[in-house]
Amino acid sequence: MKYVFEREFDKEKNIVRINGKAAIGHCQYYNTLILKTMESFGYVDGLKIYEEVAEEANREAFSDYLKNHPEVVSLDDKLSVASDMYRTFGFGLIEFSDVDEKGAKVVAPVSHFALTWKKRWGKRSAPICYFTKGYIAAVLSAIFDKPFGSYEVKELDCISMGDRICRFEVRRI
Amino acid sequence: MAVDEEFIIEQLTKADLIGDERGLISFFGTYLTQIYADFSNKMFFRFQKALTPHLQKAAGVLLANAVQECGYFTFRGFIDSPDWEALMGPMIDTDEDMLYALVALCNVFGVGKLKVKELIPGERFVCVTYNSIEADGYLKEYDKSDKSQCYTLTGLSAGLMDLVYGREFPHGLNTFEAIETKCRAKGDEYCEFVVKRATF
Ligand SMILES: [Zn+2]
Repeated sequence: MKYVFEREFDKEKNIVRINGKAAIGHCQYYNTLILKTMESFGYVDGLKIYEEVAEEANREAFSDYLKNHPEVVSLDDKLSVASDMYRTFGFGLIEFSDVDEKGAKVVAPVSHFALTWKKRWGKRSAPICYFTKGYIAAVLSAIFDKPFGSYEVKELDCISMGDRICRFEVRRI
Repeated sequence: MAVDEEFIIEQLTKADLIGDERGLISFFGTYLTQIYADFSNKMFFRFQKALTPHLQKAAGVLLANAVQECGYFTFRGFIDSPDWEALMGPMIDTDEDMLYALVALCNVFGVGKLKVKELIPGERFVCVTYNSIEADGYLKEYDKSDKSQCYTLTGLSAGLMDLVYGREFPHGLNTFEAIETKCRAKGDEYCEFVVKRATF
């Protein structure tokens, strides 16, 4: 099932809204440098904050979408809408499998974050798809109606480390 | 011919920028993502609050620099494209026209409504907005700030001056620096960005 992308431009304010929420366009230079900034201040785990906020913001957006689109009923439909939304926003491709309340397996054959990082700064020794981790946790907690922070997402392989695809494992905490 | 901002915005907001079959949005030589403003705002402000006060300032500078660079490279790609020539070419005779056209371009991305307040060619540029999305985001989460909070627009306004009046691409980055002199997050009526030649 496809994600229905509704974008409006408010001419009075020059604000973009996607499915009713204010959104901005960010380029790869911004996205990569922000991630680098997040890991540059040793004593504060910026990447953890980044991941948590990604879960929070995407959880709200995805839950609202499901509320406004009652035609999306089955688990498979919800997951395919989540993947298509991810693709539409330009983050790359994600595929869910073995999904139930207790967790899931996810692969990302294309990752905006990992590809642009590797292109700019070369191979990493640790994964970088913190946005995707938050996104995946958001999708599961929205679908199974669990509170924020209910899922732990681990990125096992990452394109930024030279792996062919990014691979994630999700478990209920 | 003067730069017709309304026409530019209308033309450029017609197309939905969405991911292709690989999930990537290719935009004049760079890759873009669409991100909820809530995410960008909360992520950065929370991170900043977790730092000690003097590092908070450093983090703000880093974010502004990130955007200055982003604006510089992304907008350069746009300027070099045939689409830019087709849309903007007939309107642009001077560097000043170019700057106004770039401000119109910024007004397409959803950062708020930017207006040029003052432009001294090659030297100084002042722009203002009454609805910065960052100031909105800040005030949604926190009480009035003691400092300006619109790092994205600060960086962006400096990046535009780099492009138009800096050294030849790609060596013009950081020719200019910007300061947000007024900000709604700290109680001002509007946000104001003053761009001057960099002193370092
Ligand atoms: Zn401001």
